[in-house]
Amino acid sequence: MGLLVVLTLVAALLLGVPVAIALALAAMVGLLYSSPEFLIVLPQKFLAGLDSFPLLAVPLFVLAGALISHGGMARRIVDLAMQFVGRLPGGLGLVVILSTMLFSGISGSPSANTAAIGSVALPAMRERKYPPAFATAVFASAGGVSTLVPPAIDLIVIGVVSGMSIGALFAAGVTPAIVLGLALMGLTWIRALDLDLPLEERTTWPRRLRTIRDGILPLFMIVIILGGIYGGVFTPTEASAVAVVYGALVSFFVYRELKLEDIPKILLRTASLSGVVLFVLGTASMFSFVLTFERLPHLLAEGISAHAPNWIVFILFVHLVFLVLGMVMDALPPIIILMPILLPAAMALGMDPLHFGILVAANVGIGMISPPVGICLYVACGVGKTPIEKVTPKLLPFLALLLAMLLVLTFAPQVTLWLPRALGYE
Amino acid sequence: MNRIGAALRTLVRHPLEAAVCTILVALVAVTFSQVVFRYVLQASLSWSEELARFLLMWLAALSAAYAMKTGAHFALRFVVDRAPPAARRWIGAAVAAATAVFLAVFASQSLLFAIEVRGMEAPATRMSMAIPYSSAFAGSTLTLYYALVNWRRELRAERGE
Repeated sequence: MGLLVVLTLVAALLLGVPVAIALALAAMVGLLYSSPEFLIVLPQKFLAGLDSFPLLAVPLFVLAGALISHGGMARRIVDLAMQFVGRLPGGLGLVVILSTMLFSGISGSPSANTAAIGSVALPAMRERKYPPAFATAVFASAGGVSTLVPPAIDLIVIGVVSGMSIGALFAAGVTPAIVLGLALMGLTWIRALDLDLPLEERTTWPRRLRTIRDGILPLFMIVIILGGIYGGVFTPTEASAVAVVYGALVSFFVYRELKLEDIPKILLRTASLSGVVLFVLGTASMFSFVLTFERLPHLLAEGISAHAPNWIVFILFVHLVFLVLGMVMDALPPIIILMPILLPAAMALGMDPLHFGILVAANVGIGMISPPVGICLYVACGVGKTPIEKVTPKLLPFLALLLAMLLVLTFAPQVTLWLPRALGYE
Repeated sequence: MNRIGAALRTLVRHPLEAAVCTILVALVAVTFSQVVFRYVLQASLSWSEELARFLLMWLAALSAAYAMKTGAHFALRFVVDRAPPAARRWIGAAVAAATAVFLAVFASQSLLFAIEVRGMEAPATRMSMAIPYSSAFAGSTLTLYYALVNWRRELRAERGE
């Protein structure tokens, strides 16, 4: 029966059944095979998969992101980044990377981050005669790192399905995100010197101070979210509601760029993305139940411990699986199904669960910018109006760099673990 | 004010959209007031977390239907897009049929499940568990409806209507 379930899933996916429905169909076939009476498990597991207060942070951080990208914060973050790195060679490319990372600090959705920053920064890059394919590749790759920046949806979902503290995962993501972001900026700098891109003009001090003053409010939002969580003031979910209220107040009353009639559009965009994520979560928990019912995770874990001589072989295998899946599908279903199976095996081989979770998040970030279907790559190409075939060759050095950095994170667990340890997470 | 009025009228004409928007706003309000009550009024709410979880279930169910309506659910297209047009039509029918069968089964089981738990009471809000759990029935019925609507539109587009 296990084989039947897996075959149903693969056939449905290849035929183009929506991923969420394909998972549910496979679960239904598995249950029917045992007894039609078991079908009542479908709604039971669906609802149990969604009955989670930490999970609520997903739609709310998506909403916070949608509010601030409408309300003028994205532009101010780009302007602010301009003051710090804009004058360096390839300045606009560095601005894109830095501002995507900063913006990710307040919005949970990597594809929304890419779209928000891209729509502000790409016209400027075009004006400055940056080659369009190169410009698009730079900001797609920045989106690939944003799965590590708290409050990324991927980190929340990893926490929810594996029972890890989301606060600890957020803390663990910070240093790897900075390391990967700096690596991307370094490569952009080198490529910019090759391309001989124009330098930005010098700005005056009064103008610089004004930009910094304008950019303080978005930065303060990051401080509220992270400070609130680590100061023990509120939980990550409560932080997401505070972020929504703060983002709305600033956009309405300080920047005055958000209008009341924009609100339904923003809410509906949030609902659409949340609907996709939450539905997959619900049906994936049906599917996981059927797998568990069949003792497949147990068999798989036994197989892994019998064949993987150590954690290094194991994690390289896991990387390979997630990279291949990430190239052809959205990252969340593999996370939801595989995390609960792989995490116990990883821990049995002596890996720290936080380290393992961050490696998976970094990996699926790379999947998001990998051809043929990486979501951030698609969004970047759409905003940049450049075909994917032209962007891909320019993206390859960035992909190679991120893969190399993934190995660095793999073999240097301290990079990930020092901050959560310092904050007192075990 | 006219534009706000127009926005409101649009929402009345689109009850599903109005419902998901209302739930999202309610979720922000409930979760935010949990913080406000704890720090500003020094009185933690006993029911806010439970209510938020129940609203989340409803948000998931209804926004899944909304995502079906807007075609946002993620599917792998790279095999289908390379198939010849005649095969594509058959694949489209098979996908729609499989989706409809699952959603119909899911809807009926969800209804049975909601009826089964109607006597159970939620610990903090004291409401019947049928209230949060019937979200699965409502969501799957609406998702089924929009899946069929989408399929009919595809068929019509193919016939060139």
